[in-house]
Amino acid sequence: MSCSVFHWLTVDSADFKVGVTSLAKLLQIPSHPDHLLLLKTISIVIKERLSSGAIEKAKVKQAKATSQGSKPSSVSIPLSKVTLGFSTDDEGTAEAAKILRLLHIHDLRELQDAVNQAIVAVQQITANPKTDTKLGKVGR
Amino acid sequence: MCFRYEGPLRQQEVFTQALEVSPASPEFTKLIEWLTTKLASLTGLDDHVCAISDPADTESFLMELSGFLREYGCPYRSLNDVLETRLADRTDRLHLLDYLMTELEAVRMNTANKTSETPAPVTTISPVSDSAEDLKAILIDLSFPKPPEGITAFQLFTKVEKKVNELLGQLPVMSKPLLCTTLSEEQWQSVNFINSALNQEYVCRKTMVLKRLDVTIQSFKWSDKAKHKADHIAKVYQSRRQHLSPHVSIEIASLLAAREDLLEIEKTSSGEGRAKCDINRFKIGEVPDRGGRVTVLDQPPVEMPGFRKRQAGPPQSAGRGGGGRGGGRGRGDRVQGGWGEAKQQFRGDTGWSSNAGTSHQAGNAASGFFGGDQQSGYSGHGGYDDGRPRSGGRGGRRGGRGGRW
Repeated sequence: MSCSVFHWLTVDSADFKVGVTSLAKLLQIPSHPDHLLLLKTISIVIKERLSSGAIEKAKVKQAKATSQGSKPSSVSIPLSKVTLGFSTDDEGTAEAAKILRLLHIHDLRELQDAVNQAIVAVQQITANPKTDTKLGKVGR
Repeated sequence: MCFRYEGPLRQQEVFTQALEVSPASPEFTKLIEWLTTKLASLTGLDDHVCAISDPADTESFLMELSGFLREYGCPYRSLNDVLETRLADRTDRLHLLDYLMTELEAVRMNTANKTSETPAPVTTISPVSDSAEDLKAILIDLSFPKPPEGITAFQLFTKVEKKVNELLGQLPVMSKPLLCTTLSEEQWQSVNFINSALNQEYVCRKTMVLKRLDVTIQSFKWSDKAKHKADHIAKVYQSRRQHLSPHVSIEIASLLAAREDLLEIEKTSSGEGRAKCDINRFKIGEVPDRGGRVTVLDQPPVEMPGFRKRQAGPPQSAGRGGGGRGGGRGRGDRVQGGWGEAKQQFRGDTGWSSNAGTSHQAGNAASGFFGGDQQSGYSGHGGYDDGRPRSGGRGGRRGGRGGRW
């Protein structure tokens, strides 16, 4: 490892590879030939699912889902129904590409939400709704 | 690279002289060669213009020049057809020099800027140092203390696994991974390619979203109310804007980390996706009633009287009088008459259909559709086109419209 934090560890050692693989299995991560990529995936999964904030969120969400019951605030669309928007050589690539597309869409949605909030924040200051109701007329 | 032109044309008199005779002047063509060679090497163009030594070769010089200007994308019309003008005009020659020199100037500035910039920041970070960062992030997210120096990979992973197992137990549901297929090396390659294409695409989209945001906020600043509060707006806006960047950080690892809850689509009209705002609660005051309720809708005016079966057939040789009487008939009939005699079965009487063939009758009958005597002028029209069965119908249609309006 070139980084000073774990400079004594060699990423290509058998121990390291075994450690990554078994951790990936524990976290149900799909297989990939590159174990360093798997390590990165592990870090993402842990950040998104197992960090203290993420666990809290998951608990809140679970509580909501059970209390609301029949009225979910979101819909789930099976991956097979997701439109890719372009064609690929084979099914496997198509599946992966669909997931990538979804990830990008989510990313863009997050940006759009942030944009909406920014606009609203500024509008709180600038908005000046005025209506001169006297101008309303019926007919010509 | 030689940046300066060192030819004889640097002397004023030589230059003036060359300019007078160019493009036949070899010196002038040498200058053009120099300029175009420099331009070509900087922009990656293949061809440049070759100088000539014999004025007889002017033709080939002009050919090359014309080709170069076309390929370079010269916007000036006067320079684009050098083959015709042959640079006969002194202004054209100066124009050409001016164009090539300013272009060279601009291209050189651009290249200078490019080389001073750091190479594209999109390049992937080397995987090795990256892995250390990942490992560090894992330990931080799992709230581990800084591991002792020299810990072996085995020890480290055993600890991490134990902690992960513990946390997995706390999690109510662990969403299943989205990717179910195991991909081959080539497939991963094409997925990589797809992702880089998607990255490009979405960076572009995000850039546009952000540009639109900036422009929108700018437009807010035009209002009178905002003019006094520019600082306040800037503070509120900048604090949010600085966190937003068009950068996309989705990679193959994100794909592997994707879980089934990615398929859930949250509503944007309510819930967390909806940005709530005080202005949403603003209500417009009383306004005059503008109607428009479907429950109190007036009956629309009758446009066409309903179909009624004819009481009696028109007399065989009634002429105009027959037309007048025919006025009693319904409009349904008229339409039939207008669209052609073929649909005779719709007309409720046989007497009529037998008459339809004679154009006078057709015309008269048509006049009858229009609503009687008042319209009889139209019947004249109908009858006008003697011997053409259809025209009676057509006349009738026109007349019918007149009657309707």
